[in-house]
Amino acid sequence: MIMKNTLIFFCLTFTVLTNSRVFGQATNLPAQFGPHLWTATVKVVGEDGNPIAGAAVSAQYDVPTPPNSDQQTFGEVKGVTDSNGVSILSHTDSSWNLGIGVENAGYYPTHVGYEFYFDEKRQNPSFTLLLKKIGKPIPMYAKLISSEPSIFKKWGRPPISFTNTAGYDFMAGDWIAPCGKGGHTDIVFIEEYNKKSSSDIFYKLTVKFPNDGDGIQVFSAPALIQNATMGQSNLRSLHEAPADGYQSEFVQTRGPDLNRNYYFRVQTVKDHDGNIVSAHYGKIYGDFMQFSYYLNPTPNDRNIEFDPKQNLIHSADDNLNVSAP
Amino acid sequence: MQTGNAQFTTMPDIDNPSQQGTGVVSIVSMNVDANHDGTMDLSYSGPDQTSPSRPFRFWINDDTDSGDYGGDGIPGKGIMADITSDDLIGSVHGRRDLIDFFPVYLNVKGLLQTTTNVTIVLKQADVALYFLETSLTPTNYMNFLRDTNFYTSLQSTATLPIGPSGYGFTQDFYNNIRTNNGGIILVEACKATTAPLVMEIRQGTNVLSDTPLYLSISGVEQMFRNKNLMLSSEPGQVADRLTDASVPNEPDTSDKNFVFLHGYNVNPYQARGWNADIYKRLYWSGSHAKFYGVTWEAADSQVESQVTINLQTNIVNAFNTAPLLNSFLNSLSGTNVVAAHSLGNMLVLSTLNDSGNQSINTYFMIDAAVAIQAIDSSAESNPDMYPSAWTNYNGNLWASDWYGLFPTTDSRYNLNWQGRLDNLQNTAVYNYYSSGEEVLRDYPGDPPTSLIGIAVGQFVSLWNGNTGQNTWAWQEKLKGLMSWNGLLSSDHGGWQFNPAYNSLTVSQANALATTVLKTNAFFNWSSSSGSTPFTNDLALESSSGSTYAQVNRNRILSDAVPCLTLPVGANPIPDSGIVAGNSDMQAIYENGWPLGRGKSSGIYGAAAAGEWHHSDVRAVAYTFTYKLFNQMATVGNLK
Repeated sequence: MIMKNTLIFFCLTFTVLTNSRVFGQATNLPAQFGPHLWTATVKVVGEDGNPIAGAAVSAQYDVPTPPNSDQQTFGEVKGVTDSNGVSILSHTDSSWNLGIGVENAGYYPTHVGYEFYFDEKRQNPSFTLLLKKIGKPIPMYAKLISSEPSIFKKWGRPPISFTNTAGYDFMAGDWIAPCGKGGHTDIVFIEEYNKKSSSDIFYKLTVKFPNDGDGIQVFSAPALIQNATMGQSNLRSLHEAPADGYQSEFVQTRGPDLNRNYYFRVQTVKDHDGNIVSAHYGKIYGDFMQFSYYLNPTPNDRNIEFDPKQNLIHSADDNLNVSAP
Repeated sequence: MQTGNAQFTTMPDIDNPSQQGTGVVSIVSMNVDANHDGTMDLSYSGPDQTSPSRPFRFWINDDTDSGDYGGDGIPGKGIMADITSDDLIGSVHGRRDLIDFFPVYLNVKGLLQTTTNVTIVLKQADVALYFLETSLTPTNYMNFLRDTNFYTSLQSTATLPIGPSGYGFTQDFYNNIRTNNGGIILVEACKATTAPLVMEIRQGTNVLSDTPLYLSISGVEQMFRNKNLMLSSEPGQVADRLTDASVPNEPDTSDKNFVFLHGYNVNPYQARGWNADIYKRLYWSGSHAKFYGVTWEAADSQVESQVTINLQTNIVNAFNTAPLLNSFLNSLSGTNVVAAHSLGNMLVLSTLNDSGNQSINTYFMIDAAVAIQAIDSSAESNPDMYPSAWTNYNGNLWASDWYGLFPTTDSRYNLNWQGRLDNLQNTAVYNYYSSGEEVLRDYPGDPPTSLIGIAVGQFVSLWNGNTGQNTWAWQEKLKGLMSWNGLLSSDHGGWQFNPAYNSLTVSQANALATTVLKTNAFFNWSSSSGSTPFTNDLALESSSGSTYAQVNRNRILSDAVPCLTLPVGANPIPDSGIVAGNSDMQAIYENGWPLGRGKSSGIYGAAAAGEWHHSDVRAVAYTFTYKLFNQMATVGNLK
């Protein structure tokens, strides 16, 4: 935008006049929405359950948007955990909610959200937040699957009925032909769909693995930090995928569940006795059919900490890149 | 022919064949991404070449932008729209302003590497353009809109005027061309022009060449179309622009129509900003669809152009506008792709359901202010939507379930949000919701008691100070409970107990017979403040109740029948069989996030830097949101 000196005075005057009119209303807000003292007690623990001293704790609170401004801002109270891993933060403001964050060198940050709901009993919350150590982030095949393959197209006027199957190649980062150019089927999605009317719809998604020994298992991580009892670490998964507990099939009839995530094992090789001699491990953040997957390229290495700077899939579509560890 | 240095050699001398003459010719050009596909084609016959008959079309930077999410996008404010106290010359006003610039590549590397004493000057006859040097290259120039660090990397945000006598460059810029393949400048326009931008190359005092870049610069509203669907005339509305002649600077378009509908609390003047902002974003995401901005009556009861205090009356407006939208969509040739924000989705869904429109190929629901149950009839009710005073009473006592007392042949059966808008015809529907919503955010428990008697001025201040946080849940849970009607929620129906039953215990109330409830509901159809026409709703309990319900259905749904599910715009639609996609914009499409935008309560995943709020699809700079627009351009086949 081009500037002219001559109009500066006029515009500033206009702004002040407008502000004063609204400021007058703001002083008349009901007391329930006014300033209140809150005190947040934050305890920080490591994955072994022991307290972590010296961690940086912050509590962000909303600052009401100034009249006629688009510039919403927040304030912040900071602290450091003591030898018991505890930091107590307090402030008086009109915020409706808090955002608590914990950071410490060598750990992934953890956050939690909190809402006061204008309830006097909710002014002094306590949190126990888990910090996960940064272990050994590795290169992985990682990609966002943002939409279903076209053969699962299910919109249109009823009746619509189909049972279609689509495979996916994790390393190639693509669907198996004819849906894409993938060559090795790691995982298979079977969608059964029957739409008799707009209110009579049958939907079933079956996730299967064509290879013996391959499978999937659910893990839960809070999608929204205000629901996270121990906070949400930037590393949502464990450091390592489980060695066992994989199911060869998973069925979903409703979805997605925002708290649901998965570990998986693919390309399993067994010996004559049925023992696993080789397998690739990975994880899925999110639920079907919109999720990010991460596959460790090294057989038998169950490490699933991803280094976002070392993605083995170079997607031309910037939208499909992932950045979470 | 391509730019760079070429060597011309003469035929051998006819008298002395061993002698030949050699001359080096430097070929230069000035390039833009004329087809805005994100790739700058440098060839002389490629799609990005300009000519007098095929100029590069762009808009005047005459809206208000500031920082990462400030400004209303309304065009035509003049060149001083972004004025601030410390701006003494032209300037880039934050990341949000960058979308109003276009990159120009000075393709002169070969010349500068082989020729000394060369200077380059930009000239433009109308002084309509300002420019800024950058370190970008012809392969990464889109970083001016996609790299959140670009703005902070600018050495200066001052933009310099390009006049008829010319403006030169710094030595750093020359060096960057020679050694780093640089040569990208960012250009903004301050007024309409068709005079070309000219790159003059001088050696000493000699002019070696003049290279034109043919331009057509106009107000942005000369580049996209508009349809006015207002139910009544209001200040600020603009006339239809539906013909080619009405959009003389419209770039090349395809047979696709992209129709955008704004949401609630947007008056006709503000709609111009919404339409312009969304158009610009899709432009830079490569869309070649004909863009139609629709203006509809979504701000009745708006106070001081800031807060619309009565949602319910604008819900009725949405239903009443649907037949008009249906006719408009049916009048268009080509494939229709529709996107709507917030309450605009009520209008589109009514067009699909009530008008039976079958012309929408693809539909993007953005931050839809529509209850999940209206689209997904199998959705279960959410206890967070029940006021605590009602939780012990049977569902058949509630206003939300009163319809169930009647047969499907009775119009009172239609006073029901469940499945109200679930006929999506043959349309591929994509739900773009945000887990970081503030306006559509879940609110467990009872709303703050002081809302019930709140005054208009207080409500305006409350909304302005906290960006309307929780408002949707509050207005649903306060239906029937307000001291008067038309401010935040209503004073009739809903969760208001019928005083006739005050003496009953819960168990006695739960035992009330259906026949009794039909003619004397446990909630109160009448207005607590006695305001008409809402006291007339008692007719629902009379013998003419079915007829009354048929006539007043949408109004009664909006102000007297609570929704029992959360809104679509903050949640996925549970039945995966209904929509073509459920996408959490905050989790998937954020490209970083403004630091000051707040991250207090809704961060989803480690990648998200902050909350994607209700109107951030427009408010937050394209730099942070471009992935969503890229996705729409791809899914809608708009490129």
